[in-house]
Amino acid sequence: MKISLNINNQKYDCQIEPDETLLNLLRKLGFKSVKKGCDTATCGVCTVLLNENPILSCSYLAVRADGKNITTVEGLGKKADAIIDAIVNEGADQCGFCGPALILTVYALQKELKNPTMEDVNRYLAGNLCRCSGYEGQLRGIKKFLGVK
Amino acid sequence: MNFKTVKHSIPKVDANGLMRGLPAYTDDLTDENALIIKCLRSPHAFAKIRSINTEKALQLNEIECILTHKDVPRIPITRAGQGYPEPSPKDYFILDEFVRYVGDEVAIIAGRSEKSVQKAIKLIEVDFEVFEPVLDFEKAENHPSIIHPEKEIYTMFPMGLDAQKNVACSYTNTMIVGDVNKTLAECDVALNHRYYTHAQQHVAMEPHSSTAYLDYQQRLTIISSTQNPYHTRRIIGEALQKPLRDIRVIKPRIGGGFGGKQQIHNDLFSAIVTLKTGKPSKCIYTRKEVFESTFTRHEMRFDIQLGADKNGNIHALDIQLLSNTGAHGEHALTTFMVAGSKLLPMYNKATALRFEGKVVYTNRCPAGAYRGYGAIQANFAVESAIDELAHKLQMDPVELRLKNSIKEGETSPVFKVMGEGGEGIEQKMESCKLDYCISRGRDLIKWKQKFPFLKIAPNKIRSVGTAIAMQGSGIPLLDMGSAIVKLNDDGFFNLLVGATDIGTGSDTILTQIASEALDVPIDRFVITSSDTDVTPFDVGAYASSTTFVTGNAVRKAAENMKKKIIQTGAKIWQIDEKQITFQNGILKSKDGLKTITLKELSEGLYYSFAEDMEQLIASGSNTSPKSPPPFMAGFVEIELDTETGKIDILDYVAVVDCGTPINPNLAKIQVEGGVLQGIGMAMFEDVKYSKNGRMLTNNMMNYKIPNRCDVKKLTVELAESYDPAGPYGAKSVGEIGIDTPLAAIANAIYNAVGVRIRTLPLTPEKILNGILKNEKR
Amino acid sequence: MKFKNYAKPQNLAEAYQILQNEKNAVILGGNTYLRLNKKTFSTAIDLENLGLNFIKENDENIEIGAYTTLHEIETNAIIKKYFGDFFTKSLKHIVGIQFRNIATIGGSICGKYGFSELITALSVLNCTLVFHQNGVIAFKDFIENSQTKNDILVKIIIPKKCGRLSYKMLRNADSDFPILTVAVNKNSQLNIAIGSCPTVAKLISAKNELENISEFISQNFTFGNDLRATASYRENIASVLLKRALEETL
Repeated sequence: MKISLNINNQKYDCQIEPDETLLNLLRKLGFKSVKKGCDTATCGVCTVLLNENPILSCSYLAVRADGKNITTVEGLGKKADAIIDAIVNEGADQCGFCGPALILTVYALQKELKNPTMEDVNRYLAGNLCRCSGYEGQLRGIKKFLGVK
Repeated sequence: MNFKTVKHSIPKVDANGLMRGLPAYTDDLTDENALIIKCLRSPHAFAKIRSINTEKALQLNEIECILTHKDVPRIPITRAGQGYPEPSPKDYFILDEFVRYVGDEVAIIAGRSEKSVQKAIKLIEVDFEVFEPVLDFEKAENHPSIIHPEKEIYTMFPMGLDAQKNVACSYTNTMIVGDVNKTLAECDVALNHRYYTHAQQHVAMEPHSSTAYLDYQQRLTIISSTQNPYHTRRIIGEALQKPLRDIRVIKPRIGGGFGGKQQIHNDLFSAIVTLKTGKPSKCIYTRKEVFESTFTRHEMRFDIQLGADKNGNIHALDIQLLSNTGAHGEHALTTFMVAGSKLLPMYNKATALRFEGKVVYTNRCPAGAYRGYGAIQANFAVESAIDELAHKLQMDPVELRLKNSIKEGETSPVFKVMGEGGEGIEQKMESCKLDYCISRGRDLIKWKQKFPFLKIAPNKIRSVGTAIAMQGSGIPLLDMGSAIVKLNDDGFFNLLVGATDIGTGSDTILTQIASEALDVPIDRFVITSSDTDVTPFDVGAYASSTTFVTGNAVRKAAENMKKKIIQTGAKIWQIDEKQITFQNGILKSKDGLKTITLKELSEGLYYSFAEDMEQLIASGSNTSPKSPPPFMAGFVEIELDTETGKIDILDYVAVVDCGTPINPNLAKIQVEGGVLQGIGMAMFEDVKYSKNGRMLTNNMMNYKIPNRCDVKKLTVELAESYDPAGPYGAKSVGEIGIDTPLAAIANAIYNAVGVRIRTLPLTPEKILNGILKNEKR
Repeated sequence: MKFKNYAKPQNLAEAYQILQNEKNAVILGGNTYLRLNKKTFSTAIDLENLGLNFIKENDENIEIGAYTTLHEIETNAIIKKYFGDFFTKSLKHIVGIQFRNIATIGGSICGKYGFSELITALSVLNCTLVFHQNGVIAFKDFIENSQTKNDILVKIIIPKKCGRLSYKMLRNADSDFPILTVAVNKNSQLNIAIGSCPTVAKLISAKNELENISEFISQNFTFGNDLRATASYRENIASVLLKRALEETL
C-alpha cells in the first residue's frame, strides 16, 4: 500500500504492508529514536506524537498515519533542549533507551496540562517505564523544568 | 578532599546523543540486509528430539539457513560470561538433542525477511519424546528425571557437580567458624526459620540483541548487547572452535543490563549463521524470548538458625541454602557463595558461623546473574530473621543491628574462608560507615516517632521497617581492568577502556578519573569503550567492579601519561623533570620561563620536533587484593490497609557508604534504581509457571515492573566515606541499592500488623491472610 | 494480529457490507489489545472516517461515539460535569497516556475483557449501545449475551440522570490489571457491578439498603483464580470495596 505522511514536518511517501505498525515504518525510515521494548503495548519506549498527542507507535498502524503529522524526538530539535538538560543534569538519562520517549511525553505534558501538580505529572508519565533510574532523578529534573512546587 | 573533576555531578558524556535518539544500540546499527534470525523453541519443559525435519522449511523463498543440533559443533560450554577458568558447569551446547525448558532452542532459522522466517518455523517438523519435567526445586535432587544425562559436561575445578542427581554444585564442610550447634544451644534466645525467595527478571528496556558480519578480511565481527565483550569473544571462540584472532566483539550502547546481559545469549546464533552463510545476520529477541529464554534470578530456600544472649549479642548464625539454577548452571556456584560471603561478615561479632547447601537443576528458565545476586536473597532471609530475633529479645531492631554490625577497622573470618567461587581473601574494613548509615537513616525516616506503627484511620496503619546490607567492589585478584590514554594532535586524548558502560555512566566516571589524574579538563577526552579489537582487556560490567577495578586502571594510565608529558617537556627544554609542572593541561617550567600548551606540544610531537617526534601513549591495568564493601541501611515507611492487605510505599530511605562518589548524581541514581528494583521484587515481580512448566509471566502485562506511581518517595543519601584502596576513595555502588527492600518491607509489615511473611513476594493476599489468621487466634 | 487487506469505508453501510461479505474481517478499535490477537484476518476495517469520535449531550443523555479514545473520555468537560471523577478513576491506571490516546471506548466494550475497568464503570449507568444493524441494546444484555456478531457498534448512550456514584478497585502494581473492581450507582435502587472477577464485570441491581454485604456478594457473584489473586481473596475484598463504595454514596 502507498501512504503519505508528515514526519517532523517532512513529507514521506511510503510503500507499506497493510498490517505494518508505525513503529516498524519509522525505524525503517531511519528514525532510530523510536524503540521497540515490548510486544504488548506496555513499556512506552515507542512513544511518538500523533498530531501533538503521545501514542504508542507499536500499536498504531502505519496505514492510519496516512495524511497525519508524526513527531519523533529528532523533530523536536531545539524544543527538546531544555527537557533534555533537565534530565541529564540529574544524571537520570542512564541507559537512554527510554529517553527519547520520555522527552516527547514531557513535551506533550507541558502543552496539555496547565499548572500540573506532581501527582498529575507522575500520572501523565506513568506509561513511560524506566528500569534504570528508579524515576526519582527523572522527576527531580522534570519538576525543575516545569516549575512544579 | 578537594577534587577538580571527581566528586562532581557532571552530565553523562553520552547523554545528548542518547536522549536525541541517535543510532546507538545494536538494532540501530545492523546492516539493512542482515538475515533475520529466529529460533524454533521447545513447547515442552523436558523432551528429547527423536527426529527433526527441515526440508519443507528450507524450500521456502528467502530462507537461507536452518540449523539443528546435528549442524552445530558439540562443545560443552557455559554461557555465564565470567572469568576463566569458569566457576560454572560446562553444561550447554549451542543446540542439543535435549530441550530442557519451555522456550529452549530446537533450531535456528535465518532468512531474508521476518515473515518468511516465521513461516519456516511453522514448517519444521519435530518429533519429541516428552519426559516428566523437574519443576519443583525442592524435589529436584534424586528426581527420576535426569536433566543433564549427557556424558560430556564437566567443571573446570571441583564444585560438587553431580548431574545424575540433578545437582549442579554443592558446598559443605568449608564455611564453618566455631561450633554452631554448641553455640546455638548455649544462646538465651535462638530461632530457626525457613524463608523462600522467588525468581525475578531483569526487564532491561532493550531486549537482548546481536548482529554479526564478516569484514573484508573475513573476520567475524559481532555487535552485541553484552556486559562483557572479552568473555563473549572467548566463549564464542570456544563454542565455534575459532581462534580468537578471527573474532571481534563490539559493545555499542546498551539499554540496561542488570546482569541479564552478562551471559552469552543470541550472540552465538548470529555468529554461527554468519559463519555458515557468509552474510550479515541479526538476532533481536522479542520480549517473550527475553522472558522465557534468557535468564532469571535464582530462586532460593534458606534455613536460618540465629542465636543471641539476652543482651542482644548475636553469637551464632547458620545458613543452609538450596538454590534453583534452572536448566543450566550459569553462576550456580558463585551466586550461591555470595549469599554467604556478602552477608555473614556484616554480623562479625558472632563466634559461630556456618554456611552450606546445594544448587539444583530444574526444567525452568535458566537462572543467571542479576544485580545483587546471592546477596539480595540472603538479605531477605537473614535480615528478616534479625527482626524476628529483635522481637523475641524485645529489642528495637535498629539497636540490635547497631550492636552487632561490623565497624570501621574490624574484619570477619568469613572474608578469608569464602569468596566468589573459591577461597576468599582476608581484609580489614578501611572504610565502613554502616553505623552512621543506620543512625542517619533512622533519623531521616523518623523511626523514633513511627516505630513500630501509627494507626491513622480505622483501617490504615503506617509502620516502618529496616534492613542493612553490604556488597563488594569487584572480585579480589580475579577481576582485572585496563586503560590506554593516547595524546592526539590538537592536544586531546583518547581514553580506551575495555570496561562496559551498560547505562550506568561508567564511561563518564572513568573519564572523570582520567581528567582528575592527568589534570586536564574533561572536555579534552574522548572515551572509546568495549571493542575487543581496539580497547584493552577488561572483565566487563559485573560484580560491582567498574568504578573500583577499572577506575584504578584509568588512574594509573592517566598518571603514566602525565609522567610521559613531563618527560617530553624535559627533553625538549633540556631541563630536569623536577623543574617541570603539568597543571590544568599546561606544561610549565617552575621558573616560569617556559610554557607550552598541550595543543602546541602535540603539534610538535607529531609534526615538528624532528628526532623527538613520538606518539605519547600510556597504559595502566589493575587488579586488587581487596574488595572493599559498600554498605547501606534501608528504611521504609509503608501504609497498610488492614481490610485488603494492600501496602503503599510512602518513603524509602537509603543511606549508602560507597566511599567517594566519583559522580554523586550517577551514584545516587544507581541507588535509586536499585532500590526500586528491590521494591518491585518485594511486592509484585514474580516469575510464575503453569503446571507443565510454561512461563505464565512471559510478557510485561503479566510481569509487572514498577512505574513511577508505585512508590511515593525515594530518599537517598551518600555517607561521607573514603576507602584508600579505591580510585580517589571510591567503592562500588551498582548493586548495593537492591538488597534491602525485601526484608525492610517484610519487617514493616510485621511491625504494622504482626504478620511475618517468609515467602516472597509480599502480596496483599498473603498479608490479608495473615491478618485474618491472627484475628482467629 | 495480522491482516491481508485494509479498508477505510466512507459510511456505515459500506463498512457493514464488508463485514458481511468477508468471513474473516475485523473492525479496528485502537488496536491495542486486538493487536495481541494471534489470528490472521482477511480485512481490517477502519471506521475513522465515519465520524464516530464524539462526546455529545442532549436533554437526557450523553452520547459517546465508539471511536472516542479513553483519554478523551477521562478529560472531557461534559463527562466531568455529570459524572465527576467516576470515569477518571476507572481509566487513569490503564497503562499510560500513550495507550489511552489510541484505545477506544468501542474497542474496550466489544473486547469484553475481564479486566476492563471501563465496563465495570459503564455497567452501573443504565447505558444502551447503538449498533448499526441490531439497533439499541441494553449494555448489560450485550455484556452478558452478545447477539451482535458481525455488527458495528456506533455509540454508547448514557443517561445524564444518575444517582451517587462510586468506583473502587484494588490492584497490586499501579499499572497492572486490577485484582477487583467495584462500581456503584445509588439512585432509587442500587446498581452494583463487580469486575475483574477475573471474568468480566457483572451488574446486579438491588434494593437501596443491603442488609449483609458479604452475603449479597456470595449470592450474586462468583470469583475465580488467576495470576493476580485467588477466588477467596477476591471474595474477601469484594465485600470491603463494596462497603467502601456504598459508604461513598451515602
